[in-house]
Amino acid sequence: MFILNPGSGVPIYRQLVEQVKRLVAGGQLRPGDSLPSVRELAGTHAVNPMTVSKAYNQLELEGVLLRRRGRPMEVAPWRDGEASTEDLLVEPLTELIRSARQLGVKLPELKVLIEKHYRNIK
Amino acid sequence: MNSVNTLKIPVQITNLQRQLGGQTILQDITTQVRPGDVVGLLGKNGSGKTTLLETLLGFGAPAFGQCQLWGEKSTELAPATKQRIGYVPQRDELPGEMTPKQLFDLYRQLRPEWNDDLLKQLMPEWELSEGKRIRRMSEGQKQKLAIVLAVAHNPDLLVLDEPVASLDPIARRQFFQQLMDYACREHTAIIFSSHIVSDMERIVSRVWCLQNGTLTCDQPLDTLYETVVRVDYSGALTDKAVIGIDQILFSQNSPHGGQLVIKDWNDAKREQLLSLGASQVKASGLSLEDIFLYWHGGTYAN
Repeated sequence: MFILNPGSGVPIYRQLVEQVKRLVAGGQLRPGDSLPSVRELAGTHAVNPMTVSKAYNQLELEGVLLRRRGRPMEVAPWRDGEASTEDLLVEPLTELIRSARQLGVKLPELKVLIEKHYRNIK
Repeated sequence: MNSVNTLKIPVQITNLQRQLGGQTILQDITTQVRPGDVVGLLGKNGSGKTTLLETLLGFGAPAFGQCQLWGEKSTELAPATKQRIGYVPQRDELPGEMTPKQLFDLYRQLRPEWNDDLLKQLMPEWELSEGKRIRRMSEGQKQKLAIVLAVAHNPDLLVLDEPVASLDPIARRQFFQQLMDYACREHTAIIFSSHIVSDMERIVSRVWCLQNGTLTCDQPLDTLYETVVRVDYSGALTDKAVIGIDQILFSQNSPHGGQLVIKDWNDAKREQLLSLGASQVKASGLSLEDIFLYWHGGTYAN
């Protein structure tokens, strides 16, 4: 369900948090869908159960997941103005814009590049 | 010291010093392992990892300081406390003439708690045959058997010294899946050493790094990721300015910019770099392997 990349320098709990958010934003996980238990995830991905709990706790705090007694974690109902696709793109965009500035690429040029590659990348 | 709290702490090490043959192998070690912890022990060959694991289990007496398991001195553990420990030594100490089945029959009598269901699950899963003499097994098979024997009595503290060195990648993954399933039990604590840092990265909650017998790092893995970072910047920093920055593990400068690896990254450090004339300061995370290499003096890492 998740693709974890331990050597990336990004804590695994954060990778989980980001991937759940992306699945929710992209509609692959819908409100009411349940998530695997901590034990299942820790076992299948061979990651520390505390890492999974930490990710679930953060997602609960942020209102992405709901915890109900005796039930698996589930995706919370949508609320307006929350976790938009734009929020999810801010980080990669910041990275791209910084790199572009370092290379002296101005905004119009960057737009052209984005358009060109948007069409090419499947 | 023997309060209710120390009884719940699987491992408490206080001011530990250990000498072997007149040589100091371990010194000034104070740390603890709490229930739920999965500690990864890193260190170069000869840094004292095996000695530390053996000392905390009470196989040798400290020259100074002490190790306690659930509040008991580890050299004077009650028999019932010893039953709470599972240990996989670096070199297997299995009797070559026996078969796993014979060993299980023997252990079943010695151990008040014995999980036959777990054996029934693990033996076929790990492709081990109960009837094969141990001396006819491969190194990997022996290592798997040693692990099975170490967990079959449901210990609360698992100490594993290089448990995966002889295992192929598939067996290693199976082992870690099993280990993480085991870590889901309440009150369990795990300490293991390995040179395969990428494996460790998946499963540990805490990292110990031994250098010349001293713990130079004892931190949650997530904290390490956030504080030991590579920093790329534009602009010129003088060598003198760079030396003035604390906790640098590695630096490479040019008049146009450079790279630093810093041990305690935070916003104040970012501000300091900007005030010294750097611009476009960008911090990125490192793999645990790179962190380990830089920690030992940046020249090995790239």
